[in-house]
Amino acid sequence: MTLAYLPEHAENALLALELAEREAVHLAYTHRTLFAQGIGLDWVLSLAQREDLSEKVDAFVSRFGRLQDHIGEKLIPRFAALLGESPKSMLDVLAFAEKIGWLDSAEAFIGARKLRNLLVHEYMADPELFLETLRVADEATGMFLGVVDRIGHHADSIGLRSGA
Amino acid sequence: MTQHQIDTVRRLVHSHFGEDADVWLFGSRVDDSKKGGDYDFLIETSLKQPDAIIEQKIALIAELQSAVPFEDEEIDLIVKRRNSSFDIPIYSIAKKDGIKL
Repeated sequence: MTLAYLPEHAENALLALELAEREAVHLAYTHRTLFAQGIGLDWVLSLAQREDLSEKVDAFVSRFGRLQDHIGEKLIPRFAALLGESPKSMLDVLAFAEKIGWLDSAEAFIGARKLRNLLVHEYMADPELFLETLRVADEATGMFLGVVDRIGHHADSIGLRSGA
Repeated sequence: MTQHQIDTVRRLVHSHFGEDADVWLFGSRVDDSKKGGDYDFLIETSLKQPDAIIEQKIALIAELQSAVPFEDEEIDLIVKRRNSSFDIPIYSIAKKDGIKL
């Protein structure tokens, strides 16, 4: 039987996928509990007095950034290698992910990288802008979770997990 | 900053935040004797809508960081909405100690 992937890359790809799935669970939890709070301007203004809430925002920003880094630096490149591709730059990596259907838009993924800095910097600044940044991050979270999900399905479809 | 960098910043800031947008460089890069550090910019814009501002901000950072004179540099932008009642000390500090480009 011919394999639909390069077996020498299987272990690395699987490790990256397992880690991504664990991080995705953490991010999904913080995302769900944070955005369940009905985030509005009053909520943002209350952050200064609510240590518990600002801690939750910090957790969200940190998990958001970690999953994004992992997807861009490890998960996609290792799955690309698994399929015999070796994109060089981050742009090539994302373009490949878009082509194969793991990612809807490479451009949106790059935009989300900037978002993380914005989440940190906007925090203490204009509350309306911070609120908008959170709203955009809410959407981007869906994009990250979707990538992990699709790559997980891809792994299953080529028999990677059962074959490992 | 080099003239090329200044021209690039002005051109991109105006294209994203309007021709009447003002921009200041502040922070460690103001002092030429201190080499390096992040580029900190304050932008004052007549744009009002938060969604438009954040969209433009993300696009501007991406464009600046892929523009040749700023390749691989860290860039931070603070956007102040002109005529907004919201005020924090960094706005006046950036204008007072910074350089208007």
